[in-house]
Amino acid sequence: MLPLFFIMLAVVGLAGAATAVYGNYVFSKRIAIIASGITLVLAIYLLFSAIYTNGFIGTAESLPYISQFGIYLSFVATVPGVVLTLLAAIVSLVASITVSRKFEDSKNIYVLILLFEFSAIGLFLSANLFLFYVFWDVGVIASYFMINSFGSGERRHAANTFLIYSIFASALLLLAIMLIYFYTPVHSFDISYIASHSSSIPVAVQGTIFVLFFIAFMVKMPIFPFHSWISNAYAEAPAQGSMLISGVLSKFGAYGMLILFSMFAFSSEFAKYAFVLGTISAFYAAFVLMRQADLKRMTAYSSMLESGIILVGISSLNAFGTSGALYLMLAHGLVMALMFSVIGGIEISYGTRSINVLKGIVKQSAGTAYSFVIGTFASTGLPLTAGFIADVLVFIGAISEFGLYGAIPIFSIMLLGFYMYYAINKSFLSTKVSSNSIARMPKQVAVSYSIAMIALFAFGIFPFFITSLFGVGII
Amino acid sequence: MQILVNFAIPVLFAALLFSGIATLFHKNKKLSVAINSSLFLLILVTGIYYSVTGISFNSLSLYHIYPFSSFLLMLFSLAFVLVSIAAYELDSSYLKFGMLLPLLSIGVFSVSMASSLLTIIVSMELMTVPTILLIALNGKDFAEPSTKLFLLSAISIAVLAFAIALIFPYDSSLSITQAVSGTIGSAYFMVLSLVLFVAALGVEAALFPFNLWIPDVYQGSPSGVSPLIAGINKKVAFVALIEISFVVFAGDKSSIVPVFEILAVLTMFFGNLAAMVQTNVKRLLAYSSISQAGYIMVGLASVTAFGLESSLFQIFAHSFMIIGAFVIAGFLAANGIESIGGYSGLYKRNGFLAFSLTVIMLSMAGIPGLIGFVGKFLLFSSAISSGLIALAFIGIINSFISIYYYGKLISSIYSGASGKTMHVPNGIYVVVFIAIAIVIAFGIYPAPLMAVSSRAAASLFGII
Repeated sequence: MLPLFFIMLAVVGLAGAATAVYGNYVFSKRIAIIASGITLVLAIYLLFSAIYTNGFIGTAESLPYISQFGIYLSFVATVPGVVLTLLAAIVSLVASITVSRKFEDSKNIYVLILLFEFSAIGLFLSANLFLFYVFWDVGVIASYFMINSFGSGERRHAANTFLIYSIFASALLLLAIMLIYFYTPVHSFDISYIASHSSSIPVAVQGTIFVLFFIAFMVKMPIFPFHSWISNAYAEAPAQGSMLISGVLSKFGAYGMLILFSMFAFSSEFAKYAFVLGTISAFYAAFVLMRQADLKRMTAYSSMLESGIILVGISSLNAFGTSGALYLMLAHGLVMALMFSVIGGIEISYGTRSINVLKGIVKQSAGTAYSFVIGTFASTGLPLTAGFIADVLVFIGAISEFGLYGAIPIFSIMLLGFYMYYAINKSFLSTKVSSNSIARMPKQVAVSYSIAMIALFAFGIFPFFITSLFGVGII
Repeated sequence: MQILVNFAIPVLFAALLFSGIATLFHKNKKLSVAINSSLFLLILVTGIYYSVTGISFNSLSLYHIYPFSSFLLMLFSLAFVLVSIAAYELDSSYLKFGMLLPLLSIGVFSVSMASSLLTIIVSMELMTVPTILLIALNGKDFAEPSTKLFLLSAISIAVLAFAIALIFPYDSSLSITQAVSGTIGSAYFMVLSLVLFVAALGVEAALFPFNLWIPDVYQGSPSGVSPLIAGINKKVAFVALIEISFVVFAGDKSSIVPVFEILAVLTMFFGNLAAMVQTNVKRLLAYSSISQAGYIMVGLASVTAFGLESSLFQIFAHSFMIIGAFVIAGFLAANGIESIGGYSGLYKRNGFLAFSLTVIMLSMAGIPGLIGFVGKFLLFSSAISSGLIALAFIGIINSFISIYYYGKLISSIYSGASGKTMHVPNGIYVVVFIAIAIVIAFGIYPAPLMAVSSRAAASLFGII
């Protein structure tokens, strides 16, 4: 069989290198779209093989790398890996198609998008923690440069805050990975080996490793005490950066959580604390969101809220909760791609993101306005969108584990829904006055949010594409 | 053939010396840099040959060639090629380099191959005196750094001599391999001697209480000299420290570990915390190189072959990172850009320099895919594997602190208005290109370098 994972990485990596070395804006954009398109086709092929080919889940590809320490370039198909690779491919395609403010030398944004996609695919498919760490940091650096070089307003401050939080997370992650390596019986970074041998690690060390990992992933998701980088980072990044960071980079943390909870037996002791943290985080985000007037900041906090719900799903530790969390990662990534590309378009054509100023967009560009409404629907879990399936699964899982307490986080989603509808109704959909548009909405923006919307409905109406995988087992 | 193998190094030393003296007479900059660089390249080839064959022999009963010294021959000869080309481009009066670099390099190579304590002390002196001259010969503006360097190295050599004198009566031999044979009796004299050795070599190696001169000298030196002091002299002090503490004091691991551990922690924190408040880029690099000395000590503190291997890897890595960084900083200083604020817009003025400096900064900060990450990964792994978990944790915290100032410099490079485009001379281009090629190539595929450094580390433990 073809080494599919290496081919995907090679396509994206070579395209990134080609755009870095040659070409101008137009050429780079084309290359980025073509490479992301090919990757999307391959990711869909992965999904279908996972559904229809027995034994595809667990297929591994590996090359020796540093044999002295038993480090391999090894990749494996897991259920969350395949689903999130698909997400990364879709969001990268959306990001390559959409446009944001003009830059003199903006071909570099496509280099960064491809670098980011490379890191995301590598991370989701990696079979060992060493590669996981390497791709994690590559993703962080790509996002840092997206904010730092192409952001708006206070981009340098935002980028530095982002970097400091991220490297803090990376440092903890590195320490945890090295501890695991030296405490496993046969020193190994391999995730499945660690999962089956974690019980041989002394309990105190297990706890330390677990907490280090947990804090690192909390920073990235983000969960309550470590969230303060998001509002600046999401708001000041360019549209492409915002959708990649919120849609895919935050999934690095969520995916890590998923692996972490399945790797250590210690997780069953810790689950209730994680549930409480997730709930607090969701409500905190909901209340902060009500004080925002900037569309991007609103979306950023809605993203933090969903991360809290994802953690609730993961901490349920049963099939419903975990698969719901995975489904929510997919749905939420697509919602972010949709919403940030719409906001990017609005910023181009109206020159502002403030809901106090934006009025009557529905009259001038109805498509854009309604797309944003649909994005809001999806994030509040309206039926027929992917968010519905996800929320149903998560809360069945949470209620069966934590009893009626498991239903508490639903109210945070309700708060999100109330406020978002209220805000949209006042700004986008009000027809009394209209803001003046300063430029036409670029066609690319419409194409990009349509792709995200189609995917959102596709996974909402045909959930069996994903749910049929869940019988196989999550890891 | 055998004679060629055995005497290649002495012959090349003679040729270097001749080339240095000949520069006095022909006074041709181009000829001088060409001859010196080709001699360094020949030493590189010899080093590679020794390393590949894994050969081990004594030459002229002065030098001991074994994988450890072959590794260092390769490292330092390549570094000297870069340093001499950079000095040729950065310094208008290259002739003093043409005369003194060969002399200095003989000192450096001799420390790497030393088989006796006397060789170490004489070669350290042979390395330091030309360095002081290289700074002092630039006129009275450079009196301050050269005086500082002179006074401190004079004291350090005196302390080194005293440290040797303390243990000499116990074994009546200056050979480093015989000193271990077990006759060192009194624990008191031994620990005192060890501490004096560490203090003497700590001055050049930038270990914490002995490194307050580093920022002034790195910043105040002429642009051609800073890469030399940071990239080569500092590493030579580490080599001497390794040879003495791992071979001469091999029997006394228990007193080495705590001393090195404390030095590592203090040096890392001092370097990183002081670097955070710097605004001058050369000074920032000086403090960052102090913190890197702390990381190297993390590997040495575990006193195992794995720890030594990771320290050697990091010595190699940091040598080329800091040479690249100081060459760029020196070139920009020559164009009047010295502060972090001045670096803003560098991206638009010269993309190559901006990209290279970014890669080097990211590598020093320990971002995966670059050589600095592999180095730090090995260092902290070695600390964990020998049970020094707290040390590894402190190292990782420091690595996290360092991202602040590296990030500050990077974000300055990619911001601000554009100025007029800068032209980079070919020599600088070549030097920086080689440096970042090493940083990226061994960052992506570190296995060969790790194999070589692991063989070097094993061979040092083997001679005991």
